[in-house]
Amino acid sequence: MNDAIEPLFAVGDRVTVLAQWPHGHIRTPIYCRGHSGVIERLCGHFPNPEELAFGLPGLPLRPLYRVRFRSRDLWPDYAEGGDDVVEIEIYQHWLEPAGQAALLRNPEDMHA
Amino acid sequence: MTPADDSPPGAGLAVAGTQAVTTAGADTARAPRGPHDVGGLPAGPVSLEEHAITEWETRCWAIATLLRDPARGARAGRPGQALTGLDESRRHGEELGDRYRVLSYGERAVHALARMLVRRGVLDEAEITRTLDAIR
Repeated sequence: MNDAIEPLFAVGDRVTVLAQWPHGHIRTPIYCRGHSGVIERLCGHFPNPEELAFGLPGLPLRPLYRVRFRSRDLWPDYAEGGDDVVEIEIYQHWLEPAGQAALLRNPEDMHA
Repeated sequence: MTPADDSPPGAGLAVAGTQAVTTAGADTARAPRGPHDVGGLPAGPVSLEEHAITEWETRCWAIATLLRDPARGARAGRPGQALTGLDESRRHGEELGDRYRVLSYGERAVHALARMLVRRGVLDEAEITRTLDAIR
């Protein structure tokens, strides 16, 4: 118990639930979620921002990749150069192998 | 606060630049959008004008830099970890919701610092209110 956090509250204390952002601190921009791209490079290993955002150490370090998306895959109406790409740095735990999405996921569950 | 990470480390993700990956989430239309997450939205022309940094912004940045110093975190009972960091600051700013766009970058940073210092028990709300009243 040496590493346990001391209780701040006693029985009978009135407490308020923090008005925290309900979906955590996931940094993937909305416009790329659900879209597929290609790993361009491994950027290194860094603390997990989802934990850092709440004052936690963010360990173990997480692999961070640069992922390359075709602009016209992200925006069907994209009218600029057809070879344009967008590169976004994304942690491994925010990615999954392409092609598994439809098998593993019920979209209704994602927003429950 | 953290979604389950059900994929084992290195779950088949290659770095060679050949393996395609999908970002989580299928239905972007219904996904909640944070106030910061405006990439790809129509925004009009971007102002490239430099804006002057005020004295208070400079001071706040100095305080934030000190609070993000791991050596000082150790003195506050967080060995190896700073008292706070950029990610926590962003999180507090994004929790402002619609007020995010009303406040300036510096104002959001101050708000985040205040929230963090109250959470860590360094300051309390009444203390901040009293001090603000005194200097107004």
